[in-house]
Amino acid sequence: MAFVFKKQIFGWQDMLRFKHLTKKRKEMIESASTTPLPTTYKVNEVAKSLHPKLLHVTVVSTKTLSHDTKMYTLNIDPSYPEEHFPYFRPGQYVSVSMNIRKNRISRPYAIVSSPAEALKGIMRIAVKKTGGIMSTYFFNSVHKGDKFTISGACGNFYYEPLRDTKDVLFVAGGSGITPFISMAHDFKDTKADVRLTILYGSKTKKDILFYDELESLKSKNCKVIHVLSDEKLDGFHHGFIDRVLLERYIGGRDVTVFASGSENMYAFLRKELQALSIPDYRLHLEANPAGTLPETNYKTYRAVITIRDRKYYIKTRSNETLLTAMERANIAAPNHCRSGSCGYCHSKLVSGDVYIPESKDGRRLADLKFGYIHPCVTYPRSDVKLIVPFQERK
Amino acid sequence: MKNVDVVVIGAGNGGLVSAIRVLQQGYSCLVLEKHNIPGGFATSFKRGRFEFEASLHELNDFGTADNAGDLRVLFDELGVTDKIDWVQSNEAYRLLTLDEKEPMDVAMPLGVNEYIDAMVKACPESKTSIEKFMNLADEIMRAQAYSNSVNGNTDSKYMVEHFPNFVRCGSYSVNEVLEVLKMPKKAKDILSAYWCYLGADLDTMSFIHYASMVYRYLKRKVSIPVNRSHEISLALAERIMELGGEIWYNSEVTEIVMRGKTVQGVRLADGTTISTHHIIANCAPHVVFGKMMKARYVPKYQLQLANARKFAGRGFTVFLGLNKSAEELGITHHNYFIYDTNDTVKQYELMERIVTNHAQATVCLNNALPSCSPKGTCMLYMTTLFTSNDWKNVTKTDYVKVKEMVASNLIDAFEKATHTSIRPYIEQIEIATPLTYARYCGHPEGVIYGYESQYYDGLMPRLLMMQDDASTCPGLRFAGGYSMRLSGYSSAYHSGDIVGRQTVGDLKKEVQA
Ligand SMILES: Cc1cc2nc3c(=O)[nH]c(=O)nc-3n(C[C@H](O)[C@H](O)[C@H](O)COP(=O)(O)OP(=O)(O)OC[C@H]3O[C@@H](n4cnc5c(N)ncnc54)[C@H](O)[C@@H]3O)c2cc1C
Repeated sequence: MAFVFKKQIFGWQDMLRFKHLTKKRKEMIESASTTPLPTTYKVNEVAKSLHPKLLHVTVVSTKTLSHDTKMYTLNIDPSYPEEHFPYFRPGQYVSVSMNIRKNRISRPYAIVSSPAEALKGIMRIAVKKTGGIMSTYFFNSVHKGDKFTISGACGNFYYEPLRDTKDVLFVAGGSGITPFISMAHDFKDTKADVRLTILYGSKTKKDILFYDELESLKSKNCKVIHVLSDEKLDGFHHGFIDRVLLERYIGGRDVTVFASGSENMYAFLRKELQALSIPDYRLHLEANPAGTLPETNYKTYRAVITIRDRKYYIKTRSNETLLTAMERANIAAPNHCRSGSCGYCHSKLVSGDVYIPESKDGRRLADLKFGYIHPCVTYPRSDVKLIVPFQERK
Repeated sequence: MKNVDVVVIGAGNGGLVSAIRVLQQGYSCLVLEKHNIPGGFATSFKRGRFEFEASLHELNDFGTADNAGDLRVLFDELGVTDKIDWVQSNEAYRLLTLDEKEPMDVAMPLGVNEYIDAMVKACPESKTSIEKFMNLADEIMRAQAYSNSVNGNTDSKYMVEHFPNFVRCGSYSVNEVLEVLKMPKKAKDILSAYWCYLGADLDTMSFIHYASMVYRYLKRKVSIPVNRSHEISLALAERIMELGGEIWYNSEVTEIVMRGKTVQGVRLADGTTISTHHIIANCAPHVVFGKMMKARYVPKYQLQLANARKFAGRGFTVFLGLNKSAEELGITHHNYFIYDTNDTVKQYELMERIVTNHAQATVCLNNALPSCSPKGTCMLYMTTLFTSNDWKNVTKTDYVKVKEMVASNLIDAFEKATHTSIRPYIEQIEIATPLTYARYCGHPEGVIYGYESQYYDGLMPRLLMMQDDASTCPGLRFAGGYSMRLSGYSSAYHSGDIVGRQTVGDLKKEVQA
């Protein structure tokens, strides 16, 4: 088909116009201003303030919450006046980093305080003594005036109005209450259209954390029910958070459940919710960091870690994650959640066999195909070679 | 100090491809990426039992082994095609309009003849004009192939002789050309559907650019990586390592080190410096010349070029994991375009404001790749663009509320247009806003489409002035969505190819000198 495109009266005019395309562009450039370009943009700055990479903090007070748990109230270190706590999503955590016996150690802690407190320059975290390296250090050696760094707020454990029901249940076990203090404050501060019930299990009354703060949060839209497993006391439920108790407080309602506690509690709760026909997708679990495997006779292996153009030759243990092995060898390696979900430690496994617990395997399909792992939840089963992203030592 | 032939700033689509091109010619290359994974926008993320695609709707111009598009040819040459599992789709789009005064609901197939047939069925009087459109588009594609074969140094006499219509229509906008073709309004509206993929209204968008994209969609159909675009990005990264290249993650470049007019190297956020005389930047010239290069080194031409340009759309996406299958929900198509109005100029204006924009390109991946989420579930991604910087007015304390509102509006619009109910079945949701995109890739204002395709700054003028743009800043070239092929997956990969090869040319010249 001999079709000739023609817009102007004469075809050559169309051709000339084409020829002038670059002339026009040159003119546009020559007539443009020579003012310097912006160094940043408002949208990028707000994004940065919501998601700072790293914050320098100082402890302004500590408070003993129970025989094994302390709260630390943080401010931004005044030597870093340009830094601010982010207006985070309640339920999120920060990754705390500090030097402990010369080694750089990081651990995630849920934020206890509310976003409103963050605007006032305050952030609170609570640390339970678990025998782990950082919690022991916190308990014994971190005092008012001490300084360390934290990451920005991370994680997806928060209330999402487009997904979640207006009836909300928090199920907390022990120190698992921490993110819920933040969330409950925020519901109250923002007058959220939410009917909240908090079922909080502790061993004895003495073990209850934030008792007074929880009392102050009580309202017609916020019920708080304490459940004691090891103590019988008037005004408190005795036993576990089981289907009978769940039925009593949320029975027959379309409810979204957030749970924070031990893996055992999660397994039990899941079963009890099933009995009440609450679908699994209504249950959101706070992730627990991967710990040491209960292997009495662990094996030791070697690992070659490449970061940028440096190689590190280290020892690993079959019952400890590769991230822990790197920390033990004092290698700065990226990590946030330590539970296989945030993806921040994404590394290439060049060779070797590993074990990744299914419940903590947050890898993407293509990660499996090309041999990427999350060292934070990966246990060696042989010598391994790993390429790990850079992490600045701050 | 580490010394390499070429430093690539950014492991996005353009950066990764350019690095492979450099390495294939035996030069050393270091890719520096501020993120902890490759791909830039080309990635995926998991929420619960869903793995969401972060950006790719579908790849055009890829095709199959026996109907290979330019992109497949490129991937073959790079040695990555077989590292990736692909599926094809025959569906172009279902187009819906929210405005009751100009209702639209039409489903279009891929394949040139199939598309013409469907168009004639939807609008019988369009036959001649849609055929002419295809005719022009075919000539455009052949002209582009010729231009590529001579590395852009086209002979104008040869062009006029062999591709006269290309030259004749080459300076006009889409709407100007469609008017000459006397295309009926309905057919014009249907053919315009893809406009939001390029993000400039069709009074502004160059015809050549739009027609060549549409034609490549129709002719080669669309391809989708089975394991999301993260699979392509990891495959490209794998190839870089095979060829002896390195990618350093969590390694943001903060400064381009200059001496006089020559590039000396780059400095990273942690203070490390890398020495090199050749940089390929996979990020915005605005960022390079506004932040990375000290003002006294920035050539006046680059300053004016940047100031003359207009940013293209700022992105917004709602990712939904639904706990019912697409079939149960009545989601029948893979690819939906839903607009407030069929008029692209009016729609562009509505997209300037947060509150007036409901336009969306929405994908239900399950309808192209049923296995992408567990049985009894499906995933839906709704993407829109903001054509002005309205998000600058959102404060940090309002931010969550605003993003929930926009997401909610998009969901409502989808339900209304498709007569479905999806809200009760939301099991997982993630919302990405211009702030998310600003943070993720570092682009100004959360722009996801580079510089807008203006009349004077569209595909042809950029290609024709490729050398002028690069010559004022020797040792520095740009790949990706901000460069000469404009934005989009295929374009970003191709610009990486062009710039990688040009940089090899620079290196060879250096040896000769
Ligand atoms: C939601 C969404 C949907 C889309 N849908 C489609 C679609 O369906 N089809 C299509 O073709 N296109 C689509 N696009 C567009 C497409 O994703 C982009 O055009 C393309 O990915 C751009 O590639 P790029 O090479 O410009 O790199 P980018 O993806 O822009 O990546 C740039 C990289 O450089 C890194 N970087 C930046 N600054 C620095 C620095 N200083 N130091 C180190 N590293 C740095 C960034 O971290 C990033 O990794 C979509 C985009 C989005 C966001």
